[in-house]
Amino acid sequence: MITFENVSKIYKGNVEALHGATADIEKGEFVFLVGPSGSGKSTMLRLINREETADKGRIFVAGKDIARLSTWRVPYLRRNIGCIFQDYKLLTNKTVYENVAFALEVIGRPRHVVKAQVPAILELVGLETKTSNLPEELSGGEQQRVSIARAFVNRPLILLADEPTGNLDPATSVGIMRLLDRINRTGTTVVMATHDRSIVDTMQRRVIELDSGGIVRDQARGVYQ
Amino acid sequence: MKIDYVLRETAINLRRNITLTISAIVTVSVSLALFGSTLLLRQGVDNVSQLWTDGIEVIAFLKSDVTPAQRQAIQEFIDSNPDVGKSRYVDLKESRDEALRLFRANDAMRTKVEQGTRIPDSYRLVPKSKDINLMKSLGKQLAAQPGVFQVVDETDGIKTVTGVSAFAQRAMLVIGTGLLVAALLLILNAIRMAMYARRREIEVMKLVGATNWFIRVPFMLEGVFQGLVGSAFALGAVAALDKAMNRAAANRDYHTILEGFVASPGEFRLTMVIVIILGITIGAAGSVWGLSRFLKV
Repeated sequence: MITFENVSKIYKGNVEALHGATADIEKGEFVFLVGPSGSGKSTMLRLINREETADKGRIFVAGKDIARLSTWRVPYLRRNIGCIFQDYKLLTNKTVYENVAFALEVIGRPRHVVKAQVPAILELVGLETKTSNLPEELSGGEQQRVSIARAFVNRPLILLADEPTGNLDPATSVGIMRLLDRINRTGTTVVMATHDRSIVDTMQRRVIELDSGGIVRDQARGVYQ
Repeated sequence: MKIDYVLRETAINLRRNITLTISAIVTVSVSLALFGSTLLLRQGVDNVSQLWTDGIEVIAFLKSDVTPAQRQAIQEFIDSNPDVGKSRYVDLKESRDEALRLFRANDAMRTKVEQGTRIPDSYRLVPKSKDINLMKSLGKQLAAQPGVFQVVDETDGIKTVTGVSAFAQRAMLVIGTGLLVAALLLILNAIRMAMYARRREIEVMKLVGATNWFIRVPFMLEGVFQGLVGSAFALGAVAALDKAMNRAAANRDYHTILEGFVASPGEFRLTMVIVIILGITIGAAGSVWGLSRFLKV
């Protein structure tokens, strides 16, 4: 589903965020990216989503070399990739329902599809009673659930999660991980960057460890270490 | 792209960003009102100089002892000269009446005319062209005719009027262009601020897979709306200026000065159309330009 072939990324000021990264992530896998801050975890996620482009090497997503995608095709790539973030990135002036519906509306889904899918996904994430609330009226965990609902409402092939539990307490984090696990069981590939040792150790999924931009460990059913 | 979605998003954005919407509208209206007024005044200056040069004449005053044969010869010279547009003979009585009218504020001169000072009769010619050299040559030929006392042409006046008019027109053009550039920058800045305030929304749209055009269209419509409302206010201001000029021109004291300065209904309508088109174009183009840097995600 996702292939990195000897990928390097150098930011301005000659900062090498990733060098020679090679990894192959299969469809339906759940992969943790671990490592200290600045090790290249977020860069890997941003490269998959083509928010950034690689300076060396090749990246394949769903069989396509994404460096070769023309700019106008990038939105179509992103429709197959859901994203969740540590800071949720919700639109503060839209309600829970509108935030989730927005993801379908901007890709031109018909109204009847929006009306059917949004309540269903909000029920899946346990927010069916909060549809009319604004994000500021929700707890951190609930806001992250809205963000997950928005990322998953389009049933993407891949879900990228950049430290989704970073701002949450342990109990709430467990709830979020259960939700991501459930989504993964539907066949969606999940790639999650995290610092949360207990989550990685508990879930025992594939772990790719990065350090100073290089992959130093790739272990099936691994732990944080 | 669904029209109802675009219209709804545009309406919501305008309402939720009301302060920025108002600031963009105020900027557009003030800038375009100034630009539109300059256009109207420029047209006025053009009209005045046109009116002035249109009425320009070469006057051949006749000697008091001119014979009928000499007058006949002068008349024939005028009629056969291809450079002469219109001509008329002003007899002694008409000359006297004109002098009395012109000297109505000058008691000494008026008294002299009333007491019988002779005002010579004359031929008044309107040349076909306002070419100064041609006018001078016509004056010379006329002066050489027997029976002609003196020829007065207005070439110096034309020089002054065309010079002043050209300067005024250039000045208006420079001011107008300067105002337009200032308006463009102010409007772009206002729109860019609006975009900056909503960069998160744009980022989310990009991340969930919206195409650039899908993102642009509601912003463009917003810009068009702001440009349209702004130009409507500007039109109000320009119309008020036009009305004030018309009112002032209707006043007898200033009628002669301001008569030509007032733009015709056609010129007024043209100014209106220019202001509206500029408003819409600036709004739409400003939005697209303002959005460009936030679309690079």
